[in-house]
Amino acid sequence: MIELTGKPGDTNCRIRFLPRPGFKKTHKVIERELVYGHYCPRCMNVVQALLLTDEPVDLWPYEETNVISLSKDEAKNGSILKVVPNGESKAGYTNYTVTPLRGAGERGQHLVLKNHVLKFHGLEQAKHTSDRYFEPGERTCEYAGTFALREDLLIRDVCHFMRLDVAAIEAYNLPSVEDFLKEAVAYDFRSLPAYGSAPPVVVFPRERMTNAHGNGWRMRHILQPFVKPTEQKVAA
Amino acid sequence: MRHPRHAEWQGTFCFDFPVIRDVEKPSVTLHKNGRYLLFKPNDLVAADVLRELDLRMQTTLMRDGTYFGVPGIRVTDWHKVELWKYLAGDIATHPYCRLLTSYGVEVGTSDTLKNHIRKEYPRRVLEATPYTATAVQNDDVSLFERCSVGANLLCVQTFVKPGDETPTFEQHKRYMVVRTSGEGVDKVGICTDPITHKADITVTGEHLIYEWSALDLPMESYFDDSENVDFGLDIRQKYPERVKEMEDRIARLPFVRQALESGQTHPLYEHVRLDAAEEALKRGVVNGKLMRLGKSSEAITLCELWGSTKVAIVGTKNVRLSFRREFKRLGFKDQDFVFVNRLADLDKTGTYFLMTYDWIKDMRDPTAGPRDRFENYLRPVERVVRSKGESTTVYATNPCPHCQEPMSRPVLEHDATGKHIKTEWTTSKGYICRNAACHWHSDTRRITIGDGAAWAVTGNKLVHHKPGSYVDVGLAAHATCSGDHIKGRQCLECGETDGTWQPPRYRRFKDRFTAVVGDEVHNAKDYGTQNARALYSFRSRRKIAMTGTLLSNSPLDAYWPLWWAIGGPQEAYPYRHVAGKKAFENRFCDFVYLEKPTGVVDEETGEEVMKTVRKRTPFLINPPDWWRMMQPKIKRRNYADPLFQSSLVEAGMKQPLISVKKVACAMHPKQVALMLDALRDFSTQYQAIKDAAESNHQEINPAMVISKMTALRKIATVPERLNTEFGATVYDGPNGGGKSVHIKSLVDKAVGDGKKVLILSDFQQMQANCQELLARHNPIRLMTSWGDEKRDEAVSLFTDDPDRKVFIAGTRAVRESIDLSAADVTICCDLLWSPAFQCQAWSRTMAPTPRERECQVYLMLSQHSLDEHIFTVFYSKMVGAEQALDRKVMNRRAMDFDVKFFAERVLEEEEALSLQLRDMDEREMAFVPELDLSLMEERV
Repeated sequence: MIELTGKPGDTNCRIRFLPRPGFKKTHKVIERELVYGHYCPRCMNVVQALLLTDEPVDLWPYEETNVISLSKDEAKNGSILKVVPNGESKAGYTNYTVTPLRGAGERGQHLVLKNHVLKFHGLEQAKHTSDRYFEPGERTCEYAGTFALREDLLIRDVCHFMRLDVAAIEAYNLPSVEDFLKEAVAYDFRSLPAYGSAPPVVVFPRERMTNAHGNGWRMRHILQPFVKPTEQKVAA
Repeated sequence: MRHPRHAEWQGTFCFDFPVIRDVEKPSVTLHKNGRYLLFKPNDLVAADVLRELDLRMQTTLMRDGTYFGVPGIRVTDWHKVELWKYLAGDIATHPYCRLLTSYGVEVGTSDTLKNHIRKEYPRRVLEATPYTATAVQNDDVSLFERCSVGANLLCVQTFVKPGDETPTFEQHKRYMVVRTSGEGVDKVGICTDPITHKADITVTGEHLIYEWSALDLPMESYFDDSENVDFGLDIRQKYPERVKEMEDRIARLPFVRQALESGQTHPLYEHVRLDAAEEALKRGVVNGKLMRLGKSSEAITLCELWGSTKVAIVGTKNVRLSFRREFKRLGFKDQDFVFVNRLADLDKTGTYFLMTYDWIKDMRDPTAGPRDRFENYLRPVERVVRSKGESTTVYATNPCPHCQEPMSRPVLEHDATGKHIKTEWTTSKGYICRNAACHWHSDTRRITIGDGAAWAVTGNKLVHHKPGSYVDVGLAAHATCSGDHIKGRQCLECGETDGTWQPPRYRRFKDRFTAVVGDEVHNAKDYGTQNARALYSFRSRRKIAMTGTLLSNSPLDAYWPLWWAIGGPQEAYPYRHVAGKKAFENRFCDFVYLEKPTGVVDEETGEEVMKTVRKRTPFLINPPDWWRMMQPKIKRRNYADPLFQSSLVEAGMKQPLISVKKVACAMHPKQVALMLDALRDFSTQYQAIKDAAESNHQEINPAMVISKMTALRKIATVPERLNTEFGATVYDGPNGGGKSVHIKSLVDKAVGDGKKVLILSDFQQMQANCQELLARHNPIRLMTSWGDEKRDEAVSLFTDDPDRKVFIAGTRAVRESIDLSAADVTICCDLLWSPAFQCQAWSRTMAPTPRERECQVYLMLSQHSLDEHIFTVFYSKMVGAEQALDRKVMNRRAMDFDVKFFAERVLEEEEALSLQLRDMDEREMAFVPELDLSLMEERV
């Protein structure tokens, strides 16, 4: 299991890797200093983490990613459908994208849960009818979202994922994440606060990326209070 | 060389390097990673920012800086950022630097990168500085007539348009010609806005164009086009001290000092001294001077100035001889230069290593065949053989390389401890070929049973083989190995290797030299050829590419020599390898667009659908752009160059007067008849090619058409050649057809006048004919099979012996580096397709000599034959090269080469020939058997 210690907003949080059943005798608990991390309370997974580590941590003995059900049945909805990797998984399978990072004097590792934080390449497509935003791998949660190291880019990224084009976005003074969520929470937008120092991850229901319509219309409603003032035409 | 201290660099650049100002913030340092720029994070946060930016760059949307609130930038390269693009200015202009700053990441520069830029930037500026321009020699036509688009005119007298008060063109300013056509009256459109350095020819607005018509005053009164491009400050103006230093060094060169001390004239021409001083400041030199203008001595001088300790000179056989003569003339010792004929010669002491293209490109790999067949004699029982058409795998032993019978390992006997005590054979111990009939010699030639010894060894090579004995000494050594430790093709126990790859020859010594001189580099103008691969693989700091005919067909011919010598990509030559070739072609080569039928009829209109085909012409699309780009790279002079003329005066030499005459030879009636039949035959074949191409909606392949014209070429020059090729008498006229008479009379007359004659023909048959025809003059005939010494001897004999007045040679055999200036008359019996090669060949006689003389070149062209059409194509190509290299402004009078047009023009001669035959009253037609012209190969 991968878990974050401390509280959101704390600067001295840590990440802990607990061996999953079958590896408890052979592998020890690993704890590393965290630069930032995000946890999803819906699927109960660590969504993203940047940790300091001299040697990259192999996730195979530790990862226990919950995949939750999207069933319409109220009893089943939100329940844990399965945990990966499991007995059916290929050796070495992980649902995280792992990137070893290296500075001049420090080494680290970046983990991001596939399909929970979306990659940007999906924005390139002209048509918004496919599920091209998603990568091969499990779709663990009913929420998917976006993350940016610059907070001012976060809402711009969300707007693009919600299919507003550049010209449409130019009509608004893009708000801060806090102000945005005040308006957007009613439309099922949420944020995952960061453990450590980083902007939050803004999430929204994943189905909006694939089969829902009216995203642009919804975003215009949310951003209505932030419209740039325009000069009124005065009749001669 | 002392490297400048850091303090000395201060203020020498127009830009600063990015520096990390706040060490508390995350930061990225720019490093040099080979030829790439590396963004190296100094901490984890910066590394994370780079990771995110890399993800964001996957979308076109986010490559625009506006997305990040940094307008005005666009990221085009981020994975592999080529460093050369940022040498010429602030390295922080890379968009990534600004994006990183927007993330609050500081950007700094590593010392390695700083030092690299500090060293490289001034060098690139120097490399991009133009050479001193040579004066342009224009044809004797008025300025109005020779004006073409892009011409740069210097106003010598202020011009005020009638009725105006303000001057239209001001004195001392430059103006550009933007168009040269007119309606009714010819007009030259000149932009009234003065141009600045690096201006383009694009002009907006008609009101900025003044049209000078033929009825106006002469343009010469107001404009001067003697220097038609403004190149800015040249290398002498920009680096006067360094050029002066080089000139002083030339004066101190041992061979110069030695010659001057002994009272001889200066061993180098004046223009060579001046040019070498400029070229020596650069690393890559392209010497495009015409033939006999001292290129070899210039190359040697440059290598001496550079202080190169090991120089490779690559050229043809004749080039080596010419360099040897040059070394001897300059007073070099024999041990200073080495003729390289084998790899061991490279270990000799000497500075200059002379090698041929043929030698360096050799890539014979003796074990290529066995490797292709997956034969590995170290593991004979493990070879996998797949039978044809079946998927079953059969294990078989390797065969004997000579008789192809299976071989087997010897039977070994071991003692109780497992130690090997006995082998089936006592002395040989090898793989055995048990075939009783297998006898062979070292070079696989069969020998009879009972010849000499059963086996004999020279070194480690078996020369005789007897049935039942071993096959190879190395394999014999391997016989006692377990066979379990074979890795690839090597046994790790005994070290024996079987069938190893042998690299091409040039790969073994391409890094040994400090300077490489590629002479006659037009031999390597296409990178696909073995010559080019071999030459361009040489890696050395300094390179010289030399050729008098850089552009033989189009400006694109210059691409690969420049790429190698100048070393791209860099700011002044932003082209890389094959991809850059296309960009180069689009920038400089002119194209014509032809409408060609596709053979498909449009159902609605009923008209044949046409397609537009783009065809490259020999002309430049924008001459000033070409000249500006090439001025820092190519040093070019022609015979009309005033400095060359004064150099000759100083050296006491005289440039010959040159006259090229076309001799139209009437063909012999039997030759005409044969030509007529061949034309009809060609017509059928051409029609078939044309139909096939049209039915496939393709263009006609010029190579196919031209190869079919070989017979026409032969008949025009050596019709009797067909008799031997067809094994029947198809021509019984005089040898050499109608040309023989003219050649004989020309030679007799020239010899009678006391002149020496060079006869060039690309046909061996014609050379033999001439030898027979002119037997009384005791001609010397140069054979291509001759070695260096024999060639040298023949040339010396022709030069020195007053009784040997006629020299016969193949056009391509003497086109490079042979001095035949003893001859005053050149007779070209036939023309090559390539004008450059033909011109090079006849220029052998045109070297400056102490005596005054006139060089006459006679081109023997059979009337109404292919010869005349080749001449037309010839002319158009020559025009293009002059425009590009000598900065001549010219109108496009010459005809572009279009194979279809060309073939149809040739076929039109059929009628003319029929009329000629009728006029000759020659009713008897020659009988031509079924001609298979595709089997007739052009003689080399």
